[in-house]
Amino acid sequence: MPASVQTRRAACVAWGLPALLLSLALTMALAACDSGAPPPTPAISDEPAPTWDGEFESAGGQWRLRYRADPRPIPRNAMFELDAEIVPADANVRITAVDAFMPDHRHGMTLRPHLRALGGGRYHVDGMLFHMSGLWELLFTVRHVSVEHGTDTERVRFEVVLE
Amino acid sequence: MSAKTRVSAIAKLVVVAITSSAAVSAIALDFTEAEIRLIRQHTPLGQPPPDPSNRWADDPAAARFGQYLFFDTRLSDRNDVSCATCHDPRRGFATGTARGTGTGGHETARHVPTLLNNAYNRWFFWDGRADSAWSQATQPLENPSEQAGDRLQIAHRVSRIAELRAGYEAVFGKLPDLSDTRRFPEHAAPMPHDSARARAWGAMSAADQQVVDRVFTNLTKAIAAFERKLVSRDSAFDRFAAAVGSREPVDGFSESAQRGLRLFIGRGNCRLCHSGPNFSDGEFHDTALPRAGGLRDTGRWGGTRRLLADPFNSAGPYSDGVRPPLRFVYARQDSSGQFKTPTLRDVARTAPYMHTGQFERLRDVLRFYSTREGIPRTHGEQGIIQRLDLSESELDDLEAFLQTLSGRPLPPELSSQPAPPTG
Repeated sequence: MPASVQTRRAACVAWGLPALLLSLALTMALAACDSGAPPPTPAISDEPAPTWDGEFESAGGQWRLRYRADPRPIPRNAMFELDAEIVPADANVRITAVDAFMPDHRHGMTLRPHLRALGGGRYHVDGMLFHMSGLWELLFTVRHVSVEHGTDTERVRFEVVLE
Repeated sequence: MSAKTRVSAIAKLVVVAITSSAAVSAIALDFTEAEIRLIRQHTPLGQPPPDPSNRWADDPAAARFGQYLFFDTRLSDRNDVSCATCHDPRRGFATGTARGTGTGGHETARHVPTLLNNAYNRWFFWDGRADSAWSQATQPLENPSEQAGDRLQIAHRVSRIAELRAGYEAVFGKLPDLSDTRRFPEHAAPMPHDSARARAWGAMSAADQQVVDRVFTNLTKAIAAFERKLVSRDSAFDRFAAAVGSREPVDGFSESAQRGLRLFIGRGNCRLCHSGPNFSDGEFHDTALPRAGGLRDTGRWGGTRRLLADPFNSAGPYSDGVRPPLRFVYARQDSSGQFKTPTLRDVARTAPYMHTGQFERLRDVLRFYSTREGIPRTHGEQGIIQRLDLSESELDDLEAFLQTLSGRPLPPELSSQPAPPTG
């Protein structure tokens, strides 16, 4: 069966262009938006930072992808790294690429990040750089194999807004 | 003086007094909290980031020697051009003409960028074909349109001129023995445009080539250490931005400049590329500027390819450590025709403008972005750079704001050649 590519929107941020440019840097998951819960507040208080910056659950609920940035929140125009996990760990579900894109500007990053599989469903990404303010789509390409669907390639998208 | 003239003089005095008062009245506009956050993204300009590729980057002795070299014409083939010839301290370490003039009257291919705040760059040259200041400095020394020398010629001169030798050895230790001209010819370098010097270089052993390259790059590391001192900060804008929340008056930041600032961070969208405390994202964009002289220039596309092939990049054997972005950069398909966003600090002192130097005045630049006249109907970055249709008074305001980005003058001792090194 040929591989198919689907794009899943994993994050939701309410914005118009002025709001986009004037809002605080936010990273949030679609699940929070879909459930009607208020968006998480950037960690500026004494409270411990959330463990993950974004999480996505596959359509059938067989696997989840979650990530966190270092440093956090993601800085504007400074390099950062990502840790990502597929849970539960499954040799048939793998992250194969990470990239980012600015849909309003129609360009991506100026650097090509390196993705490293650490084993146990864990990954590390070096060489991330969001060099401009605005809406970024953080894109994880996930390849999964199942008896029912063969090999599928799914693109999981998180939205990040940098002021 | 007639009565009529006296009245006129009094009237002028009153006008001057009112104008001065307005200039000092400072915070007239009510900036919102969101605007204040954006304003403060541009200040303060801290210390330059560390340069892991140059272990002498912050060495005072290296900087002093580098300053001596920077102003020394003997690093050029005909003893007529120094770094300071094009990077003129009287013109904000840039050139007052569209192109620089190198040895023998040759013109440089692009406009000479300022060296002010050079140490904050991620990439160097308009096309980013170097990833460190010392690597950048190797290229004009051998460029036939600039200093037109070669690394063997320069190494020999340093070894034979007493003060240059003394300066080198005080920082880097004993110079290697280059006296055997069969091993170390008078002229040699891997230059594609000069077959004689390229042949001489090819005839050298790899070990001797490395000896020369080490001397050559040590010299440019000293020059880079000097350039790190060329920092422009503490402008009227910085003082205004520090006070904007407190509503304290700030001298030198007129109401017009405030309106210009509001445009800069708002409708003008200038901050998208001219971001952060150095007013540059340090990356590359295609502004659809009409080609100067009709010449094709691939900009960042060609620059990246040259960078990755350059043995003097920060991953090469002459670097003291990799600068992280180099590990991840690649020649993006959409990067052809892109050029680096220049800093706007001290921009009023560094005319003319753009990578071609084709705009003589700030007003010309602003008008280009306002009207977008002469650009193709579609271009790669139309999502970012859109026609603004600014009024004349809005152009006045933006220009007034840009004038406030001039920092305190550099210490005069950085603007001329210091006393010769004595060892």
